[in-house]
Amino acid sequence: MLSPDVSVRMRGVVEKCSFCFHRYQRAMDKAHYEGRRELKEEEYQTACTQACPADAITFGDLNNPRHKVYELKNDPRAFRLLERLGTNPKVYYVSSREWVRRSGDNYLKTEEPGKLATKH
Amino acid sequence: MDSALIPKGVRRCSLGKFTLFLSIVGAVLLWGVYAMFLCWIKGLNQTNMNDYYGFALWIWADLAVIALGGGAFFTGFLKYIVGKDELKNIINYAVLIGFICYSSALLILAIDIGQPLRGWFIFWHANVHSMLTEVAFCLSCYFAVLSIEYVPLVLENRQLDKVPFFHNLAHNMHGVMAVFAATGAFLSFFHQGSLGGVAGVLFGRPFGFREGIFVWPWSFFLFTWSAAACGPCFTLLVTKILEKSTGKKLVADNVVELLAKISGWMLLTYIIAKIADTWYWATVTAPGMGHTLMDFYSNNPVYGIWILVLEIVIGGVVPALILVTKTGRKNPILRMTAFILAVIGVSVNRWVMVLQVMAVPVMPFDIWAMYYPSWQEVATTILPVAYGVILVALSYRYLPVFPQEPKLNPVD
Amino acid sequence: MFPGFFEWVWDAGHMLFMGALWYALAVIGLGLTYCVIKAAVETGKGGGHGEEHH
Repeated sequence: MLSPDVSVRMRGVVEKCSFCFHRYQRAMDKAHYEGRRELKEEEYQTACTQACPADAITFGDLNNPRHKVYELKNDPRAFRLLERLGTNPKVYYVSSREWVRRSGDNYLKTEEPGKLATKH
Repeated sequence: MDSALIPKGVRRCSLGKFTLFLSIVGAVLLWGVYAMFLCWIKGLNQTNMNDYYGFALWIWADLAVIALGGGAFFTGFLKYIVGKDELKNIINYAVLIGFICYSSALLILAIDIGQPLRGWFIFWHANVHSMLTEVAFCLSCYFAVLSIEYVPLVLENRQLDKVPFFHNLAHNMHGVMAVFAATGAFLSFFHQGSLGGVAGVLFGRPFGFREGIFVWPWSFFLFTWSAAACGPCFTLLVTKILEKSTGKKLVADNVVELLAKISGWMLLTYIIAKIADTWYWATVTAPGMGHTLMDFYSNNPVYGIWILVLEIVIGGVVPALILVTKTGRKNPILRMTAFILAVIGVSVNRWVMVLQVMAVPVMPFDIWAMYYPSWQEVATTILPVAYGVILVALSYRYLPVFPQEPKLNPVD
Repeated sequence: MFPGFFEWVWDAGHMLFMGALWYALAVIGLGLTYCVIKAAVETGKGGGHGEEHH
């Protein structure tokens, strides 16, 4: 992709995922012209979310109760990578399989699933 | 032929012999310079760094050399602030070693950043919340202080001293030296510490992360402490090497033993603090992040528990116990062993806190990032050593580095 | 960088860090300036005190 929105480097070198920041900017500009600061869920969606044929990705504002991701993050099947280190990543994964959830972080052998030796 | 440049009251070898020595070391230096230019012209692909493991051999050398150069600030602090006047007989050499160490560190950083012409970015676009910004500023300021401490020695060259302005300048700088030494100690405290802070603040990397006080992890204070303890050991070690190669006694025993004693007690108190900190980290901090101690020392070809033993016991406890005892200090073999072990200990500590930290797997499904240096990295790491040898040789030959030399080696 | 520049922020981090930095630089700079000026003045006056051996 040689569009300057997705590839700021020369020769199409891709960096990390920016959550389609260019789409965010356009949505915020539009909202600003209309005199509001809050984005509706369908106004800003990443390209990967829209492209996925299996609807595997849900995107939105984690802090906005009106967005779908807000309830999803509190789903008991949801987890983040390295949760207990306090890095606070914004990507949540959802899996009904215990071994998948457990592979997202380091655990001591003595720690039961769902029960950590120390709070984080 | 160059006898007019040699200080009064001492003897030096023939110019021919000296030039021969310089050209041999110079050849090694040129190899390092060649590797350096390769890195600058062709890029950092000359090293074995990659996106996953971005630390090269030279960055360990950078940290080790800064720790070993700590003899300059600590000896200066002891002499000018605490008032240990006997150390005036070794302070010149300590400053010279410090100057070499810090200029080497800046050179290594210039190579490491890949585009040295953009080196001003860290000063102009400073991130005031970063440990590395702190390091860059304090290191540069401290290098300025070291240059200011080195200049009077250069001006004391027999021919330069004849120029009245230079003579007066050197005299006045000596008079104000305590102010520079105090500023140097202040700056050193922070940049030595911030290098430890770099690893200690990494809450995403349980191997490096440490609790602390306010914004400073405990590794901050441990780094400053180890630099103050092992820097003088390195100075004394290099003094001994110089004495062996020149065949002359350059510093009286009481000065060596005093610095060794202070260094020994600093080392002992440091290693106790280090053991306490490691214990707390291994039993409380790391398990709180889901790791046992052996997670960091298994499932890889190199990093085993041996490195912890080497750093703390062999490189810390043993030299500390030797240097705090009078027998240990007075026995030349034991003393030399202690210096070498202390230098090894602090170097291993810098390796562990930088290179091992980045090698430890981050995600539960990652593997260790093993790496070996390319020849360009080896050459650029040996470059500062060759440069140091040349500068020591030139300074020793033409400058009155050791005030006690004429007395200890009478020339009839 | 200094107060008044675009990126400057009046927060604790900036004040502490840059404050300490400029303070240390000022001490070094003023100390060095003092030495150089004093040496120049002395050279102009007495042409040095002759060779002294420390």
